[in-house]
Amino acid sequence: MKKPVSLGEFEQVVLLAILRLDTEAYGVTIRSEIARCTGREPAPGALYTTLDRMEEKGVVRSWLGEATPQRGGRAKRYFALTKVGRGALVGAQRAYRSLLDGLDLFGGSHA
Amino acid sequence: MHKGSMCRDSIAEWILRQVTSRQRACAIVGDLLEGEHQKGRLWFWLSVGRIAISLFWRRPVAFISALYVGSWTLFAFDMATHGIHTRHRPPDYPWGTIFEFIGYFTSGLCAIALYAAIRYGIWQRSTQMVLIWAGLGAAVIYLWWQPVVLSLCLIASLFLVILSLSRDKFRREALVVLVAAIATSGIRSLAGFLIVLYQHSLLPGPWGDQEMREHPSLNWVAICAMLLWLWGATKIWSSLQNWLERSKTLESRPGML
Repeated sequence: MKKPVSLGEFEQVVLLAILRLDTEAYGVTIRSEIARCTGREPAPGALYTTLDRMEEKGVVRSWLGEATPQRGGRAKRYFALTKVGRGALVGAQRAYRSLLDGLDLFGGSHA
Repeated sequence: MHKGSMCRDSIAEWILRQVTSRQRACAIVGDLLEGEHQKGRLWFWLSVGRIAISLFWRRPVAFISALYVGSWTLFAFDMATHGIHTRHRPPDYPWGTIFEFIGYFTSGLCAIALYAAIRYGIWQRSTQMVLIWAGLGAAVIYLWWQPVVLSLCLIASLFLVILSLSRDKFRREALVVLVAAIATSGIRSLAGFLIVLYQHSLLPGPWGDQEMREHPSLNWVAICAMLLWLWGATKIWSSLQNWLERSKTLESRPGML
């Protein structure tokens, strides 16, 4: 059996942002989505190294899209989750959910 | 668009191209240009610097590691083919040249394998392939006199060749490894030729310890030749990776799936 890919915390954040953006996930929109949802804007260096690393791991795939004058005629690099990436994310989130099970974190004594 | 801002974008792209592939650098600069309209020019350059620094470390570490492994295997394989082999081989042993040939290729592959593993990661298929070939070559050089090991290595090599030829997804990576191995060996031959040329220009004829002491510049020329060899090898691997990435990017467009 193939060993599942393990994901770090920031990698999961980036993957969730890509999922939320669906077909519109590229550098700028991924950063804005993370900032909007978490309240913290990720460092550009951290974002691009994470995207590179995840592509090497086969968690995401990328392709070049359209170029716009606003970007100096440069193409956008879109990202999407692969089957491996989706499986790894589901596994990681399932682990979080089972750890949360039985805790009233969002309103009870742990808040 | 302003000529000045185009020049500035090109400088930013050139800086990022030194630490990542051309396509990625181009897309990153495009992203930063989009952000610059809201956040300003200082943010643009700070972001270029921060991205370059965070992507930078892999390249020098990979090159230094490749330099160490390349120079070590160069001598280790040479010692093995003239040391271990001499102890084990029969008097009418006809395979000496073949093992020297394998050692010649494998030392380059070992250097490339480490460079690729550090710079591009071991998850890449081309890195895995070059690691396997380097491992097989090293096993053959050191353990050729053990029939089981030699047979296993030959079977594994045959399996890899068949797999590379029969499966589409392995064919391009196999081609990349083959081209890199041939080009690396070619550069090594050129580097060796330059050393011999310099040696002959200093003093034609056989060299001993005394001649080496009298002409220490030969050591520096040898070090430069070694650097030339590994610089060429890593440069070729990077170019081949860019080519692989370009073709994969085209294939992974949603419409192409």
